[in-house]
Amino acid sequence: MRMISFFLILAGTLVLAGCKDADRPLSYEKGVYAGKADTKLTADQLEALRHRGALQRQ
Amino acid sequence: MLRKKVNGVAKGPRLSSAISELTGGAVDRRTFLRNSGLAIGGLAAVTGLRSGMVTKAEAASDNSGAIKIKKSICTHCAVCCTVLAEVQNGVWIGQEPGFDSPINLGAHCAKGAAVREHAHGERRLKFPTKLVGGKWKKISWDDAINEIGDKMLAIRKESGPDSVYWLGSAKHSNEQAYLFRKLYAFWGSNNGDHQARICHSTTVAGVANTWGYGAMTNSFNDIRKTKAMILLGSNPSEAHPVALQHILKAKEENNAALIVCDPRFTRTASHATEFVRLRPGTDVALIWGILWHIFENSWEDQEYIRQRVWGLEYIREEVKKWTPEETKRVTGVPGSQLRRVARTLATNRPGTIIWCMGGTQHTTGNNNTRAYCILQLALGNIGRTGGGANIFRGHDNVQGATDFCVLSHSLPGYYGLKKGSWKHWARVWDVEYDYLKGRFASEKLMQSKGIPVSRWVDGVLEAKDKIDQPDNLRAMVFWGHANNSQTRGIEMKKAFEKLDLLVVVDPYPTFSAVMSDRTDGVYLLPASTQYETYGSVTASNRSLQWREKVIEPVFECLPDHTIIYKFAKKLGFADEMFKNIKVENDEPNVEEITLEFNKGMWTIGYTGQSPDRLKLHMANQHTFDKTTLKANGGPADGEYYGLPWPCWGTAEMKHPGTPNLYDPSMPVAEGGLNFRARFGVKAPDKWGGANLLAEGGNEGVSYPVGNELKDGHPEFTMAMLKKLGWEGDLTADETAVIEKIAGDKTNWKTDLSGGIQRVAIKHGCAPFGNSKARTVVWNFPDPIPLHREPLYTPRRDLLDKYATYSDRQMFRLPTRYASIQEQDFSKEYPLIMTSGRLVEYEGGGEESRSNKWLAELQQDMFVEINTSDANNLGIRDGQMVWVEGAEKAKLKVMAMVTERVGRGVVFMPFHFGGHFQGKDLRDKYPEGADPYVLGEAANVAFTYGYDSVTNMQETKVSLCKVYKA
Amino acid sequence: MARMKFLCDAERCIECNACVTACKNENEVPWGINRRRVVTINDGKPGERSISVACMHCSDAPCMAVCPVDVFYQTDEGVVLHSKDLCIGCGYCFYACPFGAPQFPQVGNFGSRGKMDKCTFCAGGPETDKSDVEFKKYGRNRLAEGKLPLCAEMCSTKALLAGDGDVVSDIYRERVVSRGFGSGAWGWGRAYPGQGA
Repeated sequence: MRMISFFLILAGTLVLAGCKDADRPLSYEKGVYAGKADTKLTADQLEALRHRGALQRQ
Repeated sequence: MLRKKVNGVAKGPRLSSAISELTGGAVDRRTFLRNSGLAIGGLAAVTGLRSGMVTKAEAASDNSGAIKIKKSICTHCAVCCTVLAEVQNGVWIGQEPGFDSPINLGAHCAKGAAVREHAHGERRLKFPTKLVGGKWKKISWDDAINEIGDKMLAIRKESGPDSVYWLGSAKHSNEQAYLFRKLYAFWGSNNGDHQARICHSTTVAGVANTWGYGAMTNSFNDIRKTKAMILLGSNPSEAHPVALQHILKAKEENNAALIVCDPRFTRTASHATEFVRLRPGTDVALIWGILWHIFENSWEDQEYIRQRVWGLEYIREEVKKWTPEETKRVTGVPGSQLRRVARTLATNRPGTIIWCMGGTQHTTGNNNTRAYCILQLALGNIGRTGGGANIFRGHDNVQGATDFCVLSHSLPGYYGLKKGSWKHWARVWDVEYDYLKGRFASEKLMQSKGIPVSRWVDGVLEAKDKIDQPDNLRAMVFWGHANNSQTRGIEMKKAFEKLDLLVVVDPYPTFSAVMSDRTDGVYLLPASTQYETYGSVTASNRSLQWREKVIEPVFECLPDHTIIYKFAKKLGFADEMFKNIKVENDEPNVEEITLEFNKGMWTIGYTGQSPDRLKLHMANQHTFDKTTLKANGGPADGEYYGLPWPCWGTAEMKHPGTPNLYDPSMPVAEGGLNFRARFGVKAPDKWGGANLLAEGGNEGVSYPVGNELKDGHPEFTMAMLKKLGWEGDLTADETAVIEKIAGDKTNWKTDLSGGIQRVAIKHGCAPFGNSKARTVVWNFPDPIPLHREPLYTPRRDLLDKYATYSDRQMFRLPTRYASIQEQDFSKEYPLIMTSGRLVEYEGGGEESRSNKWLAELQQDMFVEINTSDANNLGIRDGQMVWVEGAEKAKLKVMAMVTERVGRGVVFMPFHFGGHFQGKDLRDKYPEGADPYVLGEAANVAFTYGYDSVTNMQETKVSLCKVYKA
Repeated sequence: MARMKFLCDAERCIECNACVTACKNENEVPWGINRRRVVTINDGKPGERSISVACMHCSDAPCMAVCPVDVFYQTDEGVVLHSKDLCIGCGYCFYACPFGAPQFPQVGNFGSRGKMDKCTFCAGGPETDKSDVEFKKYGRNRLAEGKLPLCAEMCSTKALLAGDGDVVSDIYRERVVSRGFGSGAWGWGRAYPGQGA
């Protein structure tokens, strides 16, 4: 019996430990993106993209 | 799925097909195609952006090692788009658009955008492999070459060199093609050929015999200047997609008419301004039907004809017979439509003509191509920018391989097989003529045309006493050549089984490896692709481009020129063959090969394109104009991109290349030209005996600007230079070379110094003379192009007037015409069968079907059948059916019921292989080298029938029946 | 701030599928997943037209509206991206999207859905720009390299255009002008009956 409860506790602990997920947001607010932030494009990058766009002119 | 042509989704995970249905529905319901442009997102608010470019270096990923850009050329079609490969630590990691390329301006089709998959090479043939007791066994390169070589030498001893067949490739680079041609010359046989035989041989024969050269006259870019386009049997939307960039530009900016004549409503036809649906195999009738209206209304260019065209009065006689009624009876096209076509072409000049396999692959292919030329000559469209005969070549280097004559009837540069031709090349190769002669079974066989690829099956199976060589073919080498591009599958299988030796040299095993029931005597040698080596390649427009090596050969693959050297060494003539070419670790030096052919290719001006000049063009692509192809400033100032041949004289002469053939509006020194004087100066008496040289004394029309002779003239010889008093312009060195070759008889083609060409051009003359184009080719079976019904015709009622030729002996083999046409197959086989390309695949398709990005898009071999025929036969869309050809070969394929084909016509793509008469042969491929997609090879069911001049196979029209499987 | 858009000129699209394979090539998209595809209407009949379709990066994106776990975000340039870390593979976005853009790799034997995958406008995703992890999860980040989506850059006929909205619409406007009134631009026939296609 003691053995059984020991294993149950152990199993429970392990199961809960499996839930630990550092990357996943734990709170949720409707309509709000809570994932990792993306890097914004710089002005240089945007300017390069404008130049690049013009190459499609044919 | 078969429905791919509707929604472009591969079968596979069930979800994706569910998505596709939903997408299709959503698109239709919302009719979001209300506008041509489908714009998403709001208008950008312009903000004050700082200038500055993000550099490549910043784009490097975490992996160490700088990303290098390697410039290569796509290995699929002859548009020859630039491929920019990103390579990091020797791995091909990405592809970028080559915006600087004047030919493709960054664009690719599905195939070009997927070439990096080559570097994955998952389905490649990975090492030399040999079939032993029905099982594939890995062997070493040395063992493979030794075993194959020993067998070949034994065959040579028993049956002579002509019993080994060297089938080369339009996938070779120029250097490899040249070496391959040299290989079978040194082996001592003319039994060699490549894909040109079965794609544009009738074009080269017909066009070269009309005005001199057999190539595309203008360029893809030049089409931008046209005012009308007529396409016959050409579907560039699938076969040459990037060409559409230029075609649509002309349509949009010049309001140019786009007339598509085809039995099928192709994807190109869907963009046409006029679609003409003709019955397969009636091209001459169609062209004469158009010309009937032109002559009837005097819409022809009479001044142009007077000065530059010979023999048109004979054509007029023939055309008179093609009244609108007769034309409709034969072609099925109403007279009113052809009148509209004729008027469009007449009122919109310059106009260009474009044709492909739909025109060439017929027993009358040479008649078709000459009729197309005559239409353009009557309209005065040849030799003009925006005009021309823009004949799109198929494979990436089929133009180059043709120019180097990997063919059974000529030496490199179309020199032919005469004694003088051999002597010329013996001089270039620095070997004795007698040495070469000694390699052949006889001098007669040395000068007689070999067996063409279309007929190799007959070369194996035909009774020995009926062929004009000592013995049958006993060994076949398929070097970069798919067997499923040739017809008569049942006989081909027999031929494969009868061979003593079968060698496949290819990046993939190909259908040849598995089609037959052979259990021994098959060798598969892994060749590298052109991305694993370097060298030059000739685009359809005659421009040469230089490829860089992107990656090292994968697995145990080797480049073709290395394998050629290994064979030459084993067969015992490497020392003579590579006398002036450096070889390192069995790899001949590519640049030295280029320089060697530069020394001999005078006929078509492959002499000025040295490796250095070509590399300079590749490095400075951005300096060339996107329409004229001319460099404006920069290191190649004034030259045309890729030095389109003829690039006369030596490289030091710096000829800029010839952008448009026969265009007299520029001096020859600047790329101008006139028609070639190739057929003498006077027509034969039988044909009136009139003057053939250009006449009219009209600068810029009858002779090129700056031509000091101011009219037509014959081709240049040393004697002619002397007669003109121009021999003093030769340098002492040039004179010495000329005197040594043949003295006064030395001509512009055999003068190894290039002096005769240089002096002729200095005086404004084309070295090859200045003649009229001839519309009657008196040395052909049909001097005036005639309509003749296909061998397998459903129109028995037309045979009294339009029967085919009599049976005859050609290319060493008995060749049947009338004896087939006399039999009526049309009752049992009522449907006309034709074939063509799909955009995702190319040629025999083994390579592209092994590319997962492409294979996913087309997973099933299919047959297009008209809705009405399908309903009559009780066939439903997507059902499996048998297509049985008139020679009883059967294909089990999926039915695609569509209006794309007309009633009574079925269409199949020819890229599939790996199934044979209903049987899936996947198990027979070497492990891991089976393509992702297999299917029935259409040509298995295609039938007998060969062009009367070139023995091109008749694969664009035959008969079949279709029934439920 | 400029807004990124795709534009497909149906007068130019020839259904060559370069956009499809370019996308596969650039992003190593596995077999069965189609971030982009070409749709053809009236196949084989007069009036046949094709158009290349992918995620349209809608301003008011329905996928964003319906996602129960809010995996989507929109960049300053209007590119709709999502986090695969958050996605639960429920497929709501797939039902909401009018273009069939969301794709679900099949994982497991019961056809269960993996994380949603779709066109990113070659802008990667919410990981360090140009990192291996970004590439593996979302594909190439061309925008960060100063380059536009490869599907458009490699289009055989320049039918598919991509980039800064005003650059793209300038290019398209020039074309419409040179084609001229009724010169065959899609929709003219409907707007002005009897004056062309």
